[in-house]
Amino acid sequence: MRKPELLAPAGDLERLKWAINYGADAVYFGGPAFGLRANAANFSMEDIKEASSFAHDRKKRIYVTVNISLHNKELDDLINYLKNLEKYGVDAVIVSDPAVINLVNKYTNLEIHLSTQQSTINYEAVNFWKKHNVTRIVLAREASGKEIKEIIAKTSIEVECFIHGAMCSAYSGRCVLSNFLTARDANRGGCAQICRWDFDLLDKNKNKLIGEKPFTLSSKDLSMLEYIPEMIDAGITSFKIEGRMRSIYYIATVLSVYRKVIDDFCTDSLNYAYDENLQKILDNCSNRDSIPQFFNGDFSEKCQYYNGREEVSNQDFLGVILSYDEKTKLAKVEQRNHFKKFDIVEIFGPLTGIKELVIKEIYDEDNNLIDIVNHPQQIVYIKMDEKVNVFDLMRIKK
Amino acid sequence: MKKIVLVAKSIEQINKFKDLVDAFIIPIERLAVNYESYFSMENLYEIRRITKKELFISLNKNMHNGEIESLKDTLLELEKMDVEGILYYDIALVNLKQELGLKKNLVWSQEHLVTNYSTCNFWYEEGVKYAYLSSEITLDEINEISKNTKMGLMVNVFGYIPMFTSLRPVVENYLKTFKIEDELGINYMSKEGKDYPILSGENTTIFSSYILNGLRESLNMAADYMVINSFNIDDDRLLKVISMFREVNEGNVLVLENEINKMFDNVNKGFFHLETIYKVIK
Repeated sequence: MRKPELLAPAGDLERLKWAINYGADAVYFGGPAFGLRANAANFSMEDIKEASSFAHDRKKRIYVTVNISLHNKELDDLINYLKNLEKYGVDAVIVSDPAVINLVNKYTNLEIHLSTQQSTINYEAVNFWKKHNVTRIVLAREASGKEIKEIIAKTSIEVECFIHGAMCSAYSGRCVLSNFLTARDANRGGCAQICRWDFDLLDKNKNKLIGEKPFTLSSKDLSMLEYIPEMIDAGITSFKIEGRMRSIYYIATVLSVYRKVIDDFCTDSLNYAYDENLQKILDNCSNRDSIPQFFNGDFSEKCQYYNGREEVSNQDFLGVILSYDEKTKLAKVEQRNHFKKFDIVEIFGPLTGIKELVIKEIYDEDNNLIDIVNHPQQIVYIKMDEKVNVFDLMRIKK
Repeated sequence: MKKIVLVAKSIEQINKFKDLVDAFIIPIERLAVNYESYFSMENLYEIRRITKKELFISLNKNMHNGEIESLKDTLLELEKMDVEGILYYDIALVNLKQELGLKKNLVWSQEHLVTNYSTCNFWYEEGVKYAYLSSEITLDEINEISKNTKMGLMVNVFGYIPMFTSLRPVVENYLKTFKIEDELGINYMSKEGKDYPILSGENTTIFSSYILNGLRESLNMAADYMVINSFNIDDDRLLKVISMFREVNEGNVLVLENEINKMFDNVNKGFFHLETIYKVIK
């Protein structure tokens, strides 16, 4: 059984390091230009150089998104940019515009991954791209499990599929609501997420059709946890997590769960069993409901999300472990959300696994016993009988 | 001389317009998307009999594995017919043309992705003859593409523009969730006084709230084909509009534009003079 790559998003260099520390085999991100998250912090060329060293020292890979649909004026700057990505050690570029594919092939030896922006969903299209040195296809999110298996069987190319995160409501690349409603170009990184907006729905005579909640195009998020064994058996090369704008806590939580499931199944598939608690952990760190969607052919009303932009603010993330003293058994913790004595919490991290504990003793920096930790980024010391590790995270137990 | 192409809605409409336009776009049922009406292959044979005008056949759907065999059969059948070109969104069509050695012209029709001359040239090298340009680029960009490619160019100049194509039945899902009764067909999504038509069927398409009017721009547009989209516009007004596109010149353009503005209350210049942004300056 081939173990798939676990591919994580990163909005900046710090999040790339967290992603790699929490189990990503590869990380994808946007550089200073030509990516589809123009309004994220993204990586400078110096960041890319450092990301490359950090990842390659740990035998991990980095991919840079160059997946906008180019306009004429953007063509000139692209060649040098691609050459620099290669010089700084990027392993692959994720592209959608065939003009970029031409230039990558002509001027670099970078691997080419075809972005989901092309909405590739059949084996004939995959076989076309293979002739142009594309080494990997990121399939459309609309692909069902059956379709993915058939594509893998009828082609010989790496296939990457999304396993977790937000969904486009339209076929990727086939939505320009953002252009028309806000003049922000969706296919050049300016998407204003109009699909999350509330609208009135009217009938053909322009009378309002009124439901309990406003009409929206919004979809629930994707979570493939339950289907990971089936996806591994299908021979998918890379499992992709969406979310370059997401927080460290989100990335660490999602990665640690999928890392565990992939490792457990690949180590002993016969005795592997789906753990609902892990799904609960994923659900708790999301701000929308998550379901498998198209993988099992579902695009019914169960997939829609009608809470508009009133997304749940997540306060589960309590703190980061900065150090642990084995003699005093005190963990130094930097606060992220309010917590207090007698809270039941979980500490989790790549070396720690998941440890549950009841907070019984909290000390401030002057060694005073305190009951509540309610100041942003407050430094405190918490008694923990079991050893924890630097950069473990603490969350409320639910 | 630029040719006028009409997106066809019915055989009756083709009969009505066949002397006024140079070509028709004919969407084929189950293999095309974003149109108000679709035609069977039998319809297509009939259309071929009733007009000698150029026919562009639209097979612009995202194709799933299960549709490949039917697509292949359709391409083989079209190969034997007198049609000028086949519109594609899915790259499977290019691969099938190459693998099967088909001679019929293809039209790169990936809607919002057709935005620069370098990518036009990529497809030209792959044997694609025409590009149907994005409606989200400026007139200057259209003309720059024309200068830098050998492809024949199609440009939308009039009508509602598709903005969103989804496999999800978003209207039906909403009606089911909140137990609302309505006949599916054309609905509208409304916000801040603007109504966006929604077509529900095998896929969902949402159109612009306005009717694009590029009459003035057509005078200086380096396009080979100007496309008039008939969606949601009655034939009487469409006839008048197409006649104006036929007779427009520098001398009468302002008068004709004014007439179109009087006929519709929601015309707009789209992106002909509006550059989109993608980096929000904070």
